[in-house]
Amino acid sequence: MKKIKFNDIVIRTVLILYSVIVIYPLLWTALTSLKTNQEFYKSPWALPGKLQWSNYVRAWVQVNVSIYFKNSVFVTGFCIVLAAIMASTTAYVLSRFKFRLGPYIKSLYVAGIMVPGVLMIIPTFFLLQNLNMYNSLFGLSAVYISWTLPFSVVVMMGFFSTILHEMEEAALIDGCGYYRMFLKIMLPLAKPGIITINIFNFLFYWNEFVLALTLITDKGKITLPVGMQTLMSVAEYRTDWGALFAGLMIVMVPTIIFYVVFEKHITEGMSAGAVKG
Amino acid sequence: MNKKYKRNIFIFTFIVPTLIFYLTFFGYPILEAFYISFLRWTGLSSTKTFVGFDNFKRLFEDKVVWKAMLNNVTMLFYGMIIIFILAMFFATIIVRKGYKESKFYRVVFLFPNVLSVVVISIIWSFIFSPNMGIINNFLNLIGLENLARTWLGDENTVLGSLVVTQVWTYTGFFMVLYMSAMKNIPKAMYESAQIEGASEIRQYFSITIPLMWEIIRTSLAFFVARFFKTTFPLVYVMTGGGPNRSSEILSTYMYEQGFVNSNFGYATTIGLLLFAVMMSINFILQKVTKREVYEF
Repeated sequence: MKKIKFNDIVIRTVLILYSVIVIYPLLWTALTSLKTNQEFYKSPWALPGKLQWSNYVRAWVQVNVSIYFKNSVFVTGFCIVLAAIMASTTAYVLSRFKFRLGPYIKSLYVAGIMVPGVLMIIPTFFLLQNLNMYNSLFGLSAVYISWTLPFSVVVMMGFFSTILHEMEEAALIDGCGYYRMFLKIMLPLAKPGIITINIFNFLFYWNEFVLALTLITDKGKITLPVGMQTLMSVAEYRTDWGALFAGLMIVMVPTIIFYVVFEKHITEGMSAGAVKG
Repeated sequence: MNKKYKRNIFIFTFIVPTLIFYLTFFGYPILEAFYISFLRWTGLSSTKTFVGFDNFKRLFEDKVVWKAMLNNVTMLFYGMIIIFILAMFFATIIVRKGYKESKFYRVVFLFPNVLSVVVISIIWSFIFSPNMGIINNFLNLIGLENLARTWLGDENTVLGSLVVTQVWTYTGFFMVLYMSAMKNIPKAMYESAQIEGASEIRQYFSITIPLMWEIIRTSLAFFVARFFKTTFPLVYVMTGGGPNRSSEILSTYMYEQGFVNSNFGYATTIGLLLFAVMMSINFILQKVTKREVYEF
């Protein structure tokens, strides 16, 4: 009996220790975002004296976090909707209709998953310039969507393939057109798939850095991740740590909310991936 | 006739616009990459000169490229091993012990994974900061001041520090992945093994690991892909490749060659090298971990 108890204590201690290691940096960020700049220099452990909510105001207004936020929201929202439409329509046809070019198109999307984006940054840079879409949030969105298409299409194909073919046949016999059938029957059935890809896509669009860095240089159009990095390099000179940390919190809060709401889905999505190998 | 026509129109409208979009913004840049790597080019159309394999030759002679590649592989190797061990360790205890608070651990450990790498990099830059950082302050507090370092500014500790940040970020993801794989193994297996007298450790190595092996292999591929994608923001924000290129990696060097020095041709060649390295690592990993697949 005693042996088991000791075992449990050690293990639980390790787990709790790691939990602290995970949570502490985030907690520290939250606390620091409410400190004055002098408090920051004094000691990283001390709790803030008076809560400096003004840091948040400064971050939002003076250091333009509100603009970055707005841009990120626009790009993310726009891309999620379009990507879902494009991926589900493509995946539906690819997985349930037989036509000559089908397998080739399928392999184009599957192959896309293996490509590391880093390779394409420079050509994409020039492509957007040639298309006059450089420094445009639409241009950035177009690239974002196309980068997430392979994965989204493949996932949706998986979900669509689980729907019984009898569904389609029955609907067609009843005189239902292809488009209506897709909208009224197939999409609702594939909702879990759409939720899954939306989750992964949201995380990609909201957090993406490299493309946003290279494709947008107009100060009024940069997204949150690039904005934060700019803040950090600027803060080095202006040393407004309070605003920087407040900015970090502003970036993290939507992600935290998103995570709390969708954590179950995220884990389930990962488990499904694990089961299918 | 009409029916077939309607069907084809449907297929066309659902596939073609998206496909054109995809080929334009994704397919074309990939092909362009190969073309640009044969040029010496500063970005202005007037300076495009075809130089054949010059860029590739330069790759071999560039000491920075070799250093960067070494850094890539080092970080990947250490990161992968540490994350794998930690993730398997946590997954195993949480699944086997079945604690009531398991859900808490799962939620907490996975969280860093959804944060922006930039945010994480900034936070950890401060944590590692020599004067204002938690780590050095902590060491001072417990009387180990002599261990305090400029973690990100010291050639010997910079890679390790970056790996620490990566481990913090991704362990949870792999833990959850392994947990679902473990949960998938039917309890009956363990029960019959137990009846036959197999110890817990024996069960672990003879049942759990072999049946999880495919997932483990896939997770390695995930890790490699993730790694090459996210190390750019990590290094760019935390060290900029320094000190003295000791944390330079292929992607940051490529970025510098392209967007700072305007050597777009050479930069693209570095990108291709990066791609080749990633594919080779994947290939080697998959070959080395190949085992007979057990069906259950």
